[in-house]
Amino acid sequence: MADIGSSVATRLGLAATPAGALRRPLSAASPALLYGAAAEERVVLDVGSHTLRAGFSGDSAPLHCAALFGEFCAAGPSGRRVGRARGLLGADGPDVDDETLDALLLEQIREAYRTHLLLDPKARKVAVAESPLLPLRVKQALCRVLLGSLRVPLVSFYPSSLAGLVTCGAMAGLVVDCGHRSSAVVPVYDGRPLNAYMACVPMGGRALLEGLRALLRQFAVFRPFSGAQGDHPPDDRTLDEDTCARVLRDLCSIAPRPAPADRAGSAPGGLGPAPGRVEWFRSNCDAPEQTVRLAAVSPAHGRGVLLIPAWVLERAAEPLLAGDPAEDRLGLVDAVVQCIERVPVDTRRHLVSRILVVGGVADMPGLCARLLADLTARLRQSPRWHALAADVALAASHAGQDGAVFRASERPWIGVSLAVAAKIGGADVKRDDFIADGAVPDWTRLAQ
Amino acid sequence: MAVQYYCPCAGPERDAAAAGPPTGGERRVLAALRAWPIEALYYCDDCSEIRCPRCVVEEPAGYHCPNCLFDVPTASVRSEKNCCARNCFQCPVCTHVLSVVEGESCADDGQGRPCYSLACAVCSWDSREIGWEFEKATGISAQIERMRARDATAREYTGLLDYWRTVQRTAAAAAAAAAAAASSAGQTAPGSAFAGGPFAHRLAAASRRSGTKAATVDSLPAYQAPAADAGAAHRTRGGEPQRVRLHTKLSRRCRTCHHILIKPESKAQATRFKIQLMAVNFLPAITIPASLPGPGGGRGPTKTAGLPAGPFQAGSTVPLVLRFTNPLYTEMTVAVAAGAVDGAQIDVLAPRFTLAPFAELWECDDDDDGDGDTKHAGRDRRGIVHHHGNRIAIQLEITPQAAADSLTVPLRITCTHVDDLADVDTEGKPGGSGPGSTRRTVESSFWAYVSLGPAH
Repeated sequence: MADIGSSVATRLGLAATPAGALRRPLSAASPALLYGAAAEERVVLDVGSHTLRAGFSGDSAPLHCAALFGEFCAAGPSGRRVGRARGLLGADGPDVDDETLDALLLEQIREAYRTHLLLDPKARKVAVAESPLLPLRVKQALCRVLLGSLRVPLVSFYPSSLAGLVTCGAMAGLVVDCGHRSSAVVPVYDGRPLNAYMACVPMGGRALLEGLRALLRQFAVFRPFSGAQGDHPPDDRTLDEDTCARVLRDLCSIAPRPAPADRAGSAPGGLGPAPGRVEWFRSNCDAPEQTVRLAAVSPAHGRGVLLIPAWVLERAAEPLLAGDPAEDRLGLVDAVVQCIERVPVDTRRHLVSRILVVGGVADMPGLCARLLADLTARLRQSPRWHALAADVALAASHAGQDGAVFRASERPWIGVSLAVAAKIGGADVKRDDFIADGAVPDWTRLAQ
Repeated sequence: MAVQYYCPCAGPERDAAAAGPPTGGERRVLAALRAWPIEALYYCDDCSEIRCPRCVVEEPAGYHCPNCLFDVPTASVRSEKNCCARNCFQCPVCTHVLSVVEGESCADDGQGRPCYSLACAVCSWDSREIGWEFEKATGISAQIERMRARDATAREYTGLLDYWRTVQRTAAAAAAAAAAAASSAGQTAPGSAFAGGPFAHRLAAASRRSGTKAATVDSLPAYQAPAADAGAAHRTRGGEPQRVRLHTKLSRRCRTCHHILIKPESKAQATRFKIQLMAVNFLPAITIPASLPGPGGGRGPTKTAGLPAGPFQAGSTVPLVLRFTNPLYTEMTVAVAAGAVDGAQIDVLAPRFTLAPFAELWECDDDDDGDGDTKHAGRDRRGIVHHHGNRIAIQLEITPQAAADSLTVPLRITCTHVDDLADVDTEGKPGGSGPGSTRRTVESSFWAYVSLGPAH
């Protein structure tokens, strides 16, 4: 019996004999060493309301990054179905049923597998970065598509707020997630997202786009190349979705200073900023040139150039940051203050010293600096929060570079990639379990 | 598309309840998802059913570079980051493929060795603009990967990964020690977001050890970012040449029975398929003829589209001619039944007919002499307006009960042919109809939609 026992121990690499010691490193080696690095590698997906990012764990950037579409439309003579990029569950899209939602997600995720990930979905487990405001419907549809249609063996969900902090090497902080449909401020403490204390703003990239379009319609000028026609206000077809998105992505930035309080408010009727405010914006514009020119096409007047006042490009995000008191709408700064109010008192100082801005809108230059400045100013004004104002700081690891090492919009994806590579577990949904009971773990459900 | 075929699958699981056509208001929404032109559909000859792109399973069947057509072995796809490992790069300005050119010797070398760069033949972009020069003309991908490994992003990522691995190891060790010390304590930590991760371990360990407040974040060494390297500027990925992404050939399987429907040749240069079970090779193709030879009835005034155009008057009878074509080498019996339509009555004048087997073209030419016979046959059989070779045109009569701009006519089509079990070859076409006792009767039925009017 002793012989058998020792031989078993030796075979398991447990014996302290020299032979056992030699075997031990091999038996204790990770599967990655034995079967190549791919054994533990997972596919990482970040399904936002506007953008899908896909890649592999252990990579420092996603392989594929594309706008999601929320509607099929027919194209070409054969009526081939193509997607129209407006973000998943877009506002102007039809109210989709579950089957359409499944079909939309399946088409787009399968395309990522087909052309970028280049592998059989069955072969790899999937890790998903989920925003706290990800609708449960979308999450369930995602499980149906991944586990049901694509037959992925396991899907694990990682909260995007925590994943963002992982890219800063931190486990606590205040994550400001500026998405396409809404923005959320989520406190994270000791590796746990405190979703109960979350503060939300129903504004994001889409509201920014609409705000910019309204400003352009009011203040920009379209000048056709055929000079005889003179200047025109740009029409809706000139300011289409693509043009506005291009202006927002490539030209817009955020001015470092907010408008003074006496210049706040919007014009009567709610159409754009008040005249006094516009005057202040115009005179306090930091851009070297007062007008930015952009090639554009108008169906009525042909090709031409869009003349955009530089202050419009700097002030497009004002409603997002400052909110709109006239419409009783909170801004991002209000949401951060609201969140600080809600969190337990002993965590406040710690949280405000690590503020991280992630999400698609966060790529806009100057957003982090402006948010920090506005927040500090706001806290200083109030006697209650005055002592906290000195501690406000960004969590991004290279302070001063505006977090430039990783793009702010890619941080949740990179965080999940890091977490999977470091073998940090998420909330797992196994294929067999999901097929059996269809349950999806979510923070909104008490029993998991 | 005027005629579309309906696949009853409802996403991940095949919905048995959806075997019938969708009714009323949901038809328009679902038709966009479940109705397809026949060219886009597959046919599983094991299940004898239509398979649409949503109810097939895709698997990669081979990898190649779309630029140099090099067949990449599966094992090296991931190690090369899904890109071509040879010298295939896309120009960052115009996306044309870059070529390797030999330049003058590197300045600081003095030995007169040539150095290489990537140049675009279309827009004259040169990789020396961004400081990319290579010592060797081969293995440029590897040289670039070495260069990229020194990036600020890559260094930061590696530093973070090391940090989190250390945290994970420390936490696991602490948890193991705590669990060994207090194995009888059956308490579990409150669920961390990273369940089973370092945080849950650490919290559990700390609370068991001290029984008081959980460890705070400060108890672990803070993450130190790697020192900023002045030389390693932050690269913008947009301005660099991108390696050409590999392409994959896909094989497709039936979701229900895992029968292979599509299997391509794995070589990059080959365009053939080893297995190709397309619906168009198995099911009768339904078309709306633009014109018919001879004095066949049922030709309305709208010859251009071959379709009766709306608006449709209440009470008037609209003739609709549909042509069925048999793709099989065996005779096929087709039964057509109309589904219920709101506000219109549909009469199928020829509910059952037999399609002659598909024959090669020279055999069809011989049939021309018998054209008169077919006309007779057409007259004899009510509703068949034209009969030629493996094609039969039948007439439907639609009587709208209310004025409508557009109409969708659902048709339940059941086709039956006698197949030889032993004779199903890889081309998906049953072979000659030789005599034998092993023949089986294959029946497949499906819904097709004919859309009339300007809305479609």
